[in-house]
Amino acid sequence: MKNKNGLKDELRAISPLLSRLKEGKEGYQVPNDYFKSLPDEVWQKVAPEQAEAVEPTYSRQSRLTTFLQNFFRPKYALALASVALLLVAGFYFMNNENAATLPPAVALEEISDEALDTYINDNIEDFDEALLEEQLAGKIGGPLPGLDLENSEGYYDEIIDELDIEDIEDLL
Amino acid sequence: MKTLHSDIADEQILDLLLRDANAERGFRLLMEKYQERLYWQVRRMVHGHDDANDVVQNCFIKVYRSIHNFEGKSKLYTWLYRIATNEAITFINKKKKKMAAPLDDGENSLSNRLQADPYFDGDEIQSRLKEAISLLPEKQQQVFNLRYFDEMNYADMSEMLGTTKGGLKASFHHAVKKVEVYMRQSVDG
Repeated sequence: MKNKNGLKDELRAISPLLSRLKEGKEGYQVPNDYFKSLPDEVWQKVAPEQAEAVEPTYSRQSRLTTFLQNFFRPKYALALASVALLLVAGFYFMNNENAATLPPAVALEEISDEALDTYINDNIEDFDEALLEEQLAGKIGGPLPGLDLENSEGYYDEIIDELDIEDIEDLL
Repeated sequence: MKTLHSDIADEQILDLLLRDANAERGFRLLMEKYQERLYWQVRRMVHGHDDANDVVQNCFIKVYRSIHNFEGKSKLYTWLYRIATNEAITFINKKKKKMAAPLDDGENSLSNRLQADPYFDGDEIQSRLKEAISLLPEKQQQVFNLRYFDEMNYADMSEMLGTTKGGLKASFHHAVKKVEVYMRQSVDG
């Protein structure tokens, strides 16, 4: 026995009997070429798993199938569902916001003339003159010949001054 | 000059193993480098060649399946040794449950089983020694086998078994004394 890692000295000190026994052979045997054939034997058992792990050359159809399978894998499906949900929610809120800012068509008809008069009188300062001018131009078929919108401002101011409540209601 | 498998670095083996296209080469290198050490470690625990063969094969299959879980915090052999030891202990416990009579009882004693084993050619003293070791507590068996048969130093054993060097020295000392007492009794008896 070599004194590898001080074992010989240690054993001699603790147990001379075991130190002597260590000189003999251990007694265990293995079949001939056992260690030569063992890797093959074990590899045959893991090879099918390996074949699954290695990606073979796929046909177009199987690539599509794989893509779809991946597409519906939980981590991707969840991400796609989240994106879709955000898009739908965004679209809904955008439309809802527009809907909230636009007066409903039926609501105007339901407002009484008296209420309308009161509203216009109270808010006439806030009316957009440019918008009124456009509306008026539409009514009379466009600005007067030879005048563009910018130059016809004075002309429209005069017309607006002459307008009464009923005319404005008609325009709206 | 032909490269010995034991000269190939663990990092190289792991690198091959983790790349699917080279996994077979990596796996074969891993086996060729460590199969004998692991086999003898397992054989000293389960004793019969057929049992050791089953345990070692299962061990390497598990290693292959879980190689991605090896974090490199310990040496590769330490990781392999732990898997093999756990596999052997599980095997022994299952075998004990299946056997109607205890494994160390009368005709079923380890000494008798070894003498009937075609892959054991030791004398009676050697089979008595194996029996004495098998009666040690599990941890002491591991310490005894690593030190007595593998002649491993205490620093490596400490990493492998997660015990201090002082604790291992004391454990080996106790184990040797128990084995010696058993051997003297069996010779005198």
